[in-house]
Amino acid sequence: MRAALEEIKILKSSIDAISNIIDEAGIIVSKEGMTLRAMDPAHVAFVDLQITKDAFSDYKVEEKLTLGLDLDRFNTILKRAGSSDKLTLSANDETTMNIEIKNSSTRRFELPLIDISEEEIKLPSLDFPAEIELDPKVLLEGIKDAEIVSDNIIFKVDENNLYLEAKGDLGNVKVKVDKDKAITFRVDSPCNSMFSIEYLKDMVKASDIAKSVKVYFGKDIPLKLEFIAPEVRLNFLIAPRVESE
Amino acid sequence: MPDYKCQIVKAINKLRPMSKEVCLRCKSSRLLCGRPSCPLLAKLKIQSPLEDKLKEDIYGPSPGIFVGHRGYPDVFIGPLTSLEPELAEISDNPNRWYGFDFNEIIKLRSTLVRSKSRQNVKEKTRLVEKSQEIALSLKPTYTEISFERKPSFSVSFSTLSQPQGPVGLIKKFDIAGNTKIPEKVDSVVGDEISSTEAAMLLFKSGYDVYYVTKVLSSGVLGREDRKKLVPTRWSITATDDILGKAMINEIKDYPVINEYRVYSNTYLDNHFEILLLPRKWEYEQFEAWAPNTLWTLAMEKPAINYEYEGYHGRSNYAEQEGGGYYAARFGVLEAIAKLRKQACAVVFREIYEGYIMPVGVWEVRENVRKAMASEPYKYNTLNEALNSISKRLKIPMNEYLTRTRILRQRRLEDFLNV
Repeated sequence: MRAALEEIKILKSSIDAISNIIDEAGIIVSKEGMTLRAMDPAHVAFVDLQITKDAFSDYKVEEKLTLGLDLDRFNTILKRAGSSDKLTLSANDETTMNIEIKNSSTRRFELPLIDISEEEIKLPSLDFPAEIELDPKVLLEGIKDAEIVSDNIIFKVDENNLYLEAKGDLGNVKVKVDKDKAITFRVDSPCNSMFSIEYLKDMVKASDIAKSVKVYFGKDIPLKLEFIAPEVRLNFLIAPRVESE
Repeated sequence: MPDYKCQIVKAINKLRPMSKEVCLRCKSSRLLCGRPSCPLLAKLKIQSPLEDKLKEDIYGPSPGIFVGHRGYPDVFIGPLTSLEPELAEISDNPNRWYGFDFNEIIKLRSTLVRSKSRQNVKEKTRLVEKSQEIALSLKPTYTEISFERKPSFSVSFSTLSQPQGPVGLIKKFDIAGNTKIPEKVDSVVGDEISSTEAAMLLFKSGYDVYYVTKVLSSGVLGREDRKKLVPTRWSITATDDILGKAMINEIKDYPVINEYRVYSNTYLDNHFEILLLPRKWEYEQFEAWAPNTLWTLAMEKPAINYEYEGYHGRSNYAEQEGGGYYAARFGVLEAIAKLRKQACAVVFREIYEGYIMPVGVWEVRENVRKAMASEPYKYNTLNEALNSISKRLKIPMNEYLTRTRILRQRRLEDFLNV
């Protein structure tokens, strides 16, 4: 396979968002594009990434391959690429992947691939009473605000507003997003759930690839993030924390 | 036997705590109050009639050495020499202390005289070399020591290290007997590998954590230009951390246990409940201190410290709990690795009023080891496991549930049948 990418942010930011959560995963490369679906070791978070072949300036795949990646290493290499560089991924088999970064020089990295034990991933099917589409920056900043005081964040919604809240020994934070400031806003019933900031702050590293992000949640059920971008599907699912008291 | 415990309780009753929170967070190890030494620990010194055994010159078996940390990199180093030859071996090996009460521990440690001389941690003087031979020897080595002045009797305490007996400045120090250093150790010392790798190699070859700690402290491990003495207190936690991290990597290759397991043990007024969950590695530890221990003198309610690390480990020091965190984590990992299993662990440690003084983190390590060696209770659900644990804890489970990360975090499969 051989895939060249000019808009490298798509891959860089997605892998940056994923690599802290998931240590090893297989990227399936097929004629349609690349997909990565994996659960984190604690089974708290699930990621579903698809980059369609149209995202690439050049895309050739003869046969379907599963490229087993140490995502941390992959991410370290991708970080070496600047935003104006051209990136080419290539592999002849499932043992090695070549990463070429081209600009005023040509840099070539050889990344040994690893065996990925394929676990069957079972996902819950959920009905979300709240579905809100936002500018990704709003979510990103809200999570950063919450992190100042806590490692938990509460997503809360009523008929008119979305709230991001955090409570800690060092104080409280409350971020309010007006219904009218959201891109779309559907709430069947007021609800709230708490999540680990540690996971969310990694997920929102993908904010810069998307024009908007859809947030789905409910009462003590997992939260789903759907980054909306052309030629890319990036979804995360994260299980809640039970609120005490 | 004199009642040391009683003497100490009397001394504590006269103490004024420095501050409410600072002491508990510091436990003498970080000197957060800004004083040059811990004023609480200083008052705990006790006197005893063992005085007449102390002379300007002593001859006896030395089971180990002590490396101080004050003045680093110029630190006090020297052997510990026993005044009671038949106790020499046991007196510096906490692996054999489980079950001893406060008085027995103090008595045992008070038979060891610490002799010291200031040396730079990178220096390789004859005195350092002789100390290294003693540290590496599996059997106590007979030594002859002349002091500048006759040491006076005292026993002092530390959160990390074992209690310490009389101390004297070295005038002259000679090895008078044979050392017994295993070939394996000689070869590891000679290898050009990092001290971390070397410590792990020794542990994997079957040497206990206390021996590895001693060897690391003596400054023989690591690449030639990096070799240096490691203060005893640092070496204790460094060894727990090095061996712990290596075992974390190891267990990640093993299958996850099938059920919830609960291990439990009490020793020296320290109660442990250790919960293993059928999930991949993560670790959290609660440390609940009753009021009126040395570190909680001004408190009216129990204080709960909390530390957590995720699957990918931690990069910062577990400040809230210090050495006790690493010692307990070591004990848990040692047992899980032996089972060739993987699990997520939640450790509840309750420290009751009767824990009047610190005896060193070996207490935590041996307590956890004892718990993990017992037959666990097994449960199919987390709730059953927590119910069982809460029956044996004094502090209500809710106090822990408001702080936990692991127990509050749901998993995606919990919603499969919703």
